[in-house]
Amino acid sequence: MTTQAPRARHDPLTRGVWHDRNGRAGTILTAALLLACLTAAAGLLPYDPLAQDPTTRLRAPSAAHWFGTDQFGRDVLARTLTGIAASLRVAAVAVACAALIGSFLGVLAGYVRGRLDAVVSRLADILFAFPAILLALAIVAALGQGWFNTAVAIAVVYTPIFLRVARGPTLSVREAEYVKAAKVLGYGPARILLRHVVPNVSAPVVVQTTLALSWAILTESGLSFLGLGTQPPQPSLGLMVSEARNLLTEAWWTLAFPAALIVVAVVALNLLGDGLRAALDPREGTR
Amino acid sequence: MAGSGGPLRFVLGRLAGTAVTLFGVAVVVFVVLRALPGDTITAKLGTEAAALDPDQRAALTRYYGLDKGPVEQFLGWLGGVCQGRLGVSLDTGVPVRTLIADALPVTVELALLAMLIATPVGVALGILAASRPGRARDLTTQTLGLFGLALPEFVLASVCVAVLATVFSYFPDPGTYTPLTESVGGNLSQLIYPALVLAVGLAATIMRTTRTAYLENARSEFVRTARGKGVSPLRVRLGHILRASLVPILTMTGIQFGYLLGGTVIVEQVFALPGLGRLLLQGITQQDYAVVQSTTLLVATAFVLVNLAVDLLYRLLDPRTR
Amino acid sequence: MNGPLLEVRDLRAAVGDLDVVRGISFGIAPGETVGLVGESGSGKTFTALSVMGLLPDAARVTGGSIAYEGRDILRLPERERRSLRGAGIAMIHQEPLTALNPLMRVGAQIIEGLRAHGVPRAEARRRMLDTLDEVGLPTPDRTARRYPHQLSGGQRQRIVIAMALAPRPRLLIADEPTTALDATVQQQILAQVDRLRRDHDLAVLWITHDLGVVARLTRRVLVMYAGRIVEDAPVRALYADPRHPYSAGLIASLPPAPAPDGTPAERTPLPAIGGTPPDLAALPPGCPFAPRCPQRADRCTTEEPPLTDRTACWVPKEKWT
Repeated sequence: MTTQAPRARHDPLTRGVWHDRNGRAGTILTAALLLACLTAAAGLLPYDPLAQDPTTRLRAPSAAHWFGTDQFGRDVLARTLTGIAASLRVAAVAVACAALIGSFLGVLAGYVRGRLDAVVSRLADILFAFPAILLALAIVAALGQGWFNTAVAIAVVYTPIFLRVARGPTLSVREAEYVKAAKVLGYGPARILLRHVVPNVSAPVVVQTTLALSWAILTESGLSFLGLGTQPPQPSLGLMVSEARNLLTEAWWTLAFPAALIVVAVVALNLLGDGLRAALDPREGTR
Repeated sequence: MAGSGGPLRFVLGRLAGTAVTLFGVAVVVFVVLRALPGDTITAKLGTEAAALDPDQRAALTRYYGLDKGPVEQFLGWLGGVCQGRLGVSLDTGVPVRTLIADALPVTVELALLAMLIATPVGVALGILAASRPGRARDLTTQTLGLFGLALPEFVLASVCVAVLATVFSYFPDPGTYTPLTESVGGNLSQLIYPALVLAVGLAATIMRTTRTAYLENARSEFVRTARGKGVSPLRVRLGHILRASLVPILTMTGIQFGYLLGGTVIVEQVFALPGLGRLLLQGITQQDYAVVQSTTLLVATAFVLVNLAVDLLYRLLDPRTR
Repeated sequence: MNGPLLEVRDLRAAVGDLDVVRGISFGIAPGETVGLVGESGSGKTFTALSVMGLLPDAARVTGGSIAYEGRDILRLPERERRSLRGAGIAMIHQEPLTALNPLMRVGAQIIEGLRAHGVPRAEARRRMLDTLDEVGLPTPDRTARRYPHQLSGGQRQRIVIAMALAPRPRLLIADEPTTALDATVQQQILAQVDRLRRDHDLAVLWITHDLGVVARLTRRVLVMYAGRIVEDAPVRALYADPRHPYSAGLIASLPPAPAPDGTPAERTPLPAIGGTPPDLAALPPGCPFAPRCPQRADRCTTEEPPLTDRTACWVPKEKWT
């Protein structure tokens, strides 16, 4: 995941996040989630999330099945963890694409200005004219269902947001005296971009990435809930909630655990985002 | 000194900008929902439209402009849309205009109801949190707000429906929807729960905006000046801090209302309300592109216009921008 | 009433754990003008805000007393204290744009202060217009309908002054009211406030780092350093014969004598005295000025000198080098 890029031990950003109360909680929760996802992805779970067992239908949480079982006797814990791993995969693919393309276009538009900037910014404005969920739905409608198309839809929604986030700082850096000086000294655009623009753009982009990831998880599970995202029998948190809807009174655990995990993931990423913002802008601190 | 250009010029400028954006929106809708799934539409017209009578089929062929080039298709479609020709549903043969006319009031009412619930709650909680920053009530409110944002609508809606079914033996059914014109009480009893579900996330967003704006204004110099004049604490809070915070709060509320017009899909689906969101979803699952296209265009247009209204309102509220 | 209008005794204030005002005492007589000078961070503004009862959330008064007309206002119930604010003691702040509410017409902002002290609506409006006229704003009824952003910097500062003076306070605290303005406007406004002071028999505490302003407008000067008063002297005495090495440094770096008409030759920010301003979080054990002091003696680094009749310094003037 993009937010988890390795950083030097004494990097002020990591230290700042850790000093912020929200940042610390967010880091711990996100790390725990990633660990759980890795466990699921590596096939280390005691149960197969797809294996049906008619003899263990709708069992309440127990020592054998911590989160209980669903109406097909499948282990809810295994399905929940596989589901959040799937959600995170979609979210990570989508946000990574949006962040890379959006930031690249934003820096390019902000640095080159001129007609390119006008066209790119106008395009972003037009995409902004759609409510996010509507745009995602329209794209899924055009491309068809499935997790990859969901990722594409989320990426399209978020690309203009990253574009704006990257373009602003690029514009101000471009006008800064030290950049003008660097130009006078004859440094090429590549050096100026790498030395001056990228460091200024990366901070807001990183913060935006955590928020985008949390929104992407909500969108992915929402689309799956509507039957437009991940398709059964693949476990997905949205689908699990959808299937558990009518079981709520007899088997609350089939809904409660997947729902709780979505909440935990979104809260974790938001807290991490708050922490990053506080570390990058001390005025916003919550320590 | 007084703003340059004058208000009329500003309004005209914004209207022109909005027109360009709307044209862009139409292009995007056309490209995404007409050009991308082009083959699907042709195929569907060949197979399923067999059930339609020749007139309806002809109307659809004309609507999609299948015999023309893409630019002509687009212009023809846009021209038709402007004259209210929104095509015919592939499944039922009902004109899309009729479908939308039936669905729109449901969604608008739902969105308004949700706003009506969420705005006072969000503003009150935001002020409550900001009045003692960093203290217990602030942390509690902020935690509630974070969970309000993180709790997916579909979970809340599902739980709500399950509880209604168990406790009140109430089962949502699109066939039994009561319009407002028929029975106010019956209508409200069907809309109040979905509105409450929508209001949770909304209130959380409005709470956060209120808190941030209120805190920022409470720290400002003019508030210290007001206190220095001996103005009472209540008047400082309402007349100065809250008054100054209203601009961002109203902006956020307006934007959220715009989002709601397209964001009711899940709630309408779970509560079986025959609104725009459900219409859109049915259109998507049945690949009924005339329905999807028109609904999307309508909601996006409404969103753009709501944003324009918010922008103009903002000018009215803040004398610095007049 | 006899005796001082304001009597501050051993006032202490802290921001969190940091002591920013460390036991200061001074008095202001009715109609007197006093200057409070010092570098930024010396505690001038915190002193003023303590008197007003407008300290920011993180700061609080930790000791001492502030008597206004003989009553310790720190012990007054909040309601009575509020009735003093604006009507008894008024304050004008540095930046006139941010001091005014951008969303309210300026006339309404003046009226609000009068209404807060029970002035009837019609009377408040009349007094608002009178005060606008008094502070030298032309066409008061038109100006009253303006929003702050529609006025120039000088006009805005006049509004702020009118707002402070309309309820007829007895003491005005002016916290660097002209730093944000250009030199000409600055002079006009200072002159205007001084005229109003004489007309209304107003006591004024001028807070500034501009010794030129102090020389022109005040009779007595308090020099603050690191949260304490290091010298308390009549203006003439301070200029002719500073008794604290810090004051001496300030005077020495002033531009040549003011012009005959009283206009200072040039606005000067606080002159560069050798060394760095004190870090309040890590003050040395003795005199806080000792690390920068050219007259430093042994005792200065171990024991902080008290403010005696005029100065807080261990080394008598005769022994200066």
